[in-house]
Amino acid sequence: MSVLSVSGLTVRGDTVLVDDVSFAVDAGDRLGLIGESGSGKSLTALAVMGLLPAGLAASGSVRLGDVEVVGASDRELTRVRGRAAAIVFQEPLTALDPLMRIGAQVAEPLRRFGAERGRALRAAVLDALREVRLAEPERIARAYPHQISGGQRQRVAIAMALACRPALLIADEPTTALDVTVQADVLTLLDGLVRDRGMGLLFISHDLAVVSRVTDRVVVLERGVAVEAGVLADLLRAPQHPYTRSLVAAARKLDTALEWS
Amino acid sequence: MSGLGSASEPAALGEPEAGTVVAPGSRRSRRRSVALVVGGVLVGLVVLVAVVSLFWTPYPPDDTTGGRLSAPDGAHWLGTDKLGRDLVTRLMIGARIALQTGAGAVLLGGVLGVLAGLAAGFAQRWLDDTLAALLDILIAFPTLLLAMLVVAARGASLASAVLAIGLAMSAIVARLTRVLVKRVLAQDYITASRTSGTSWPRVIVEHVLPNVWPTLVVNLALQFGLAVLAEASLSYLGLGPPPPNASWGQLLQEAQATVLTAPIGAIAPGVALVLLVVGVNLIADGLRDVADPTRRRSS
Amino acid sequence: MKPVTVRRARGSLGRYLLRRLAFLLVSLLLASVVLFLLLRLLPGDPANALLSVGATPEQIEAARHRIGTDRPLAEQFLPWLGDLATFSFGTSFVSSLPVGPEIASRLAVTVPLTLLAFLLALVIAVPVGFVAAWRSRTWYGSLLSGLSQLGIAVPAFWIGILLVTVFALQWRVLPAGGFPSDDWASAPDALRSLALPIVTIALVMSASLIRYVRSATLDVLGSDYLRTARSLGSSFVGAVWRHGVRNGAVPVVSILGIELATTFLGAVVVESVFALPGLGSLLVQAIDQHDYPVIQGVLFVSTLAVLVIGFLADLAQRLIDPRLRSGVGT
Repeated sequence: MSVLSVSGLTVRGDTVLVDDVSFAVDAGDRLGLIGESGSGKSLTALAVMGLLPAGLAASGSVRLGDVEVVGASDRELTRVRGRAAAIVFQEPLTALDPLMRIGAQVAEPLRRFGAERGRALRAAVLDALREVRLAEPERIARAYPHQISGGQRQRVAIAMALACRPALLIADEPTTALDVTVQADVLTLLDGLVRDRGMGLLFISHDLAVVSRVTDRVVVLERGVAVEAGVLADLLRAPQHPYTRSLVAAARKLDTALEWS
Repeated sequence: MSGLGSASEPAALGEPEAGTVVAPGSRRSRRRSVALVVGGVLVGLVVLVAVVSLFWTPYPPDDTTGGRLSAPDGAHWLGTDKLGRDLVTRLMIGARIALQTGAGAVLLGGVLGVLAGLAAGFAQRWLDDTLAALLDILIAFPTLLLAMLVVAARGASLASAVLAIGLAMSAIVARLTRVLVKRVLAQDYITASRTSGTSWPRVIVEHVLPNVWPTLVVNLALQFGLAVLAEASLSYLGLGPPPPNASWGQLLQEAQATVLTAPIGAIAPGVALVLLVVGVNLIADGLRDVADPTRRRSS
Repeated sequence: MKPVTVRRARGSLGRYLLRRLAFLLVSLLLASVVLFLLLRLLPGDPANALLSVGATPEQIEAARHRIGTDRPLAEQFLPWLGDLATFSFGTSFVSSLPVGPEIASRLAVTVPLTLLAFLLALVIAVPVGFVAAWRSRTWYGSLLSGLSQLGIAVPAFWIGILLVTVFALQWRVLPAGGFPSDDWASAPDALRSLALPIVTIALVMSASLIRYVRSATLDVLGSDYLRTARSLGSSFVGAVWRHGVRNGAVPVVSILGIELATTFLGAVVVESVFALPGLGSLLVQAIDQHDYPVIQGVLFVSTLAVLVIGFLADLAQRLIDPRLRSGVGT
């Protein structure tokens, strides 16, 4: 059964921002969503979670597990979020509450989706931080977001998302705001965690090299329209759509060591 | 607080109002243009009335032939006050006083404040801390209080009012300017400009001022309204320009005793004040787009 | 901003408090100097005000000696400061009564007036501002926002006049002015006298506060951290309560301090409308009569109040926002 099934998703504001996009992600599947800024990929992710900003409306069908997201009430969506899918955003500094300690923020989803309380909960928080390879979890738990580095913050965000034990993890440009040296580590971490837990992964990025590391299939978005989809290896070898071709060519020019299996 | 002597307001302190980035032609930008137009009309009306009052009023200002507290009729469109003076005439003169006070105070406060703020913006460390603390103390000093002291020293007049309000305003403008200047100085293009050998005066003229004046203009527009309200309060307390150059605040003070028998006298000047200040505020709102195109996202 | 390794925060709150208290005292000193210069630089010898009450030259000279204006400026400052520090404000030139008790009885009016008005303003502004932001796209959201726009354009004394007209003169449910001569001996009477003034000030203050609350709420509602909380399965109310309130309070608290501080003396206009014997009215009267000891006393007390309020507001902000605590140029 699909963890996520998107059919004919259209997002409208003053203009059409996402136009009739369809794709599906099964358990254990890894799907990449590639496009430049303005292609509607982030909006697609938000639409999947039912978190579109005010003023934008979605139509079509988005099924998370067995729940239809489009048209669902906020209460229904609150029940579904976290459990069916969790999302890691691009900018970890603003994604975390600046006035709350890291430990308290990680504890929130743990409390909601787990049974631990009190001391056991505090231990679970530290475990969650260790799982994302954060050294000195006690210190980090006591710290505030502005006191740790960007890479550490993103790991915390991943920990919070995973604490929900979601069936699907959506990662929206999770490494774009990080230093290059840190990017590789975070990607490896994501890769391993998704694999270990058998989650579905929807990985959104503008960077072909990054996407090729973590996913098997991709959907290419250009200005809100899905112009090509398929197995990543095939796309890289023989891109059909002119836009895909230009993406691959540009990536090749920048990265001569692009590897595809 | 309007009418109570302070100028604390989101824009007065230089914080941009949260809102979406305004695209030209978008719904919000249209709302802003409407604000500008409506505000412009309101203020324009008052300006028109004030200008006309320089040449003509229905009756001479000190004409008391009208019969006390008479109701509106053909001869006196809004009736008369307790001494028989035509209300329309007094309102027109009040418009002139209001605009003169506002303009004078903004001029004084603006020039003083920007200069002081520029200086403070460049100050470093302990000097900076001291100046900031000084400004905060000056700002906490209610405008009315300052005005009272000035009036005590110089006597009640339009000039005293302008001086007092302008001084109080300069502290607020100075603090805002200081914050803005510091923000600009922290930018990379300043460092770039200096490393390429530009002198400080040129940097100020070419980089600091252009980036600072849009927000300042919006703020000064708001201060105009606050100055008008401050003057009204002063006049209400009897510390403003004396008749025949009575301002709207004075009119309200006089009308208070007879409010039940002649309500128009207590309503019309108030309405006039509100219209002028709302108009000015709307213009300031409409100018915000021009002021800061790089507004933060709200959603 | 460079990431800073987590520092142990224990004990720094105590140190910060000491630092702020020291700063408070220094500010008080600074303000005293300003006050001193301000008063001494006003034209005319203060003691000459006594001429109006028909004092003899000897009495005037005695007064000059008492307030110290017969000595050079520099010598006057320290004794003057010492007097103020012990709250001994001397006696009024006009009434010959001690200034301290007079100020105290005025404070008995101004302090409750200011505080109650402030609370009422909060009670009005927080929900209205929140709704104005939350439902900013609806007609009533825009209406609320527009009303606050109107509210900041209305002079406080005009609202006072209108309220008096309706509630005191027309309907006669509340007194038109004045305050019981036995102060708070009868609390209900005192409160009835303060009711309309409190509402007047609260209305004006809330118009301004609404705009701040609305702005802060818009920021919170559009924030990424709220989105994160919701994406992790939190309800809207839960997320706003757990994350929004504290974050939204930060900009609002700073403005609350300023509003409260300026209302203290700024309420003089409202006091005038309702003939309340408050601190502001005392000051106006004293300035009019050149009653120096009174002027000094009132200004000192209100400066003290302003600085203390500022200190408390700053403390509150630091308690809420840990980013302000790390110091070191963050």
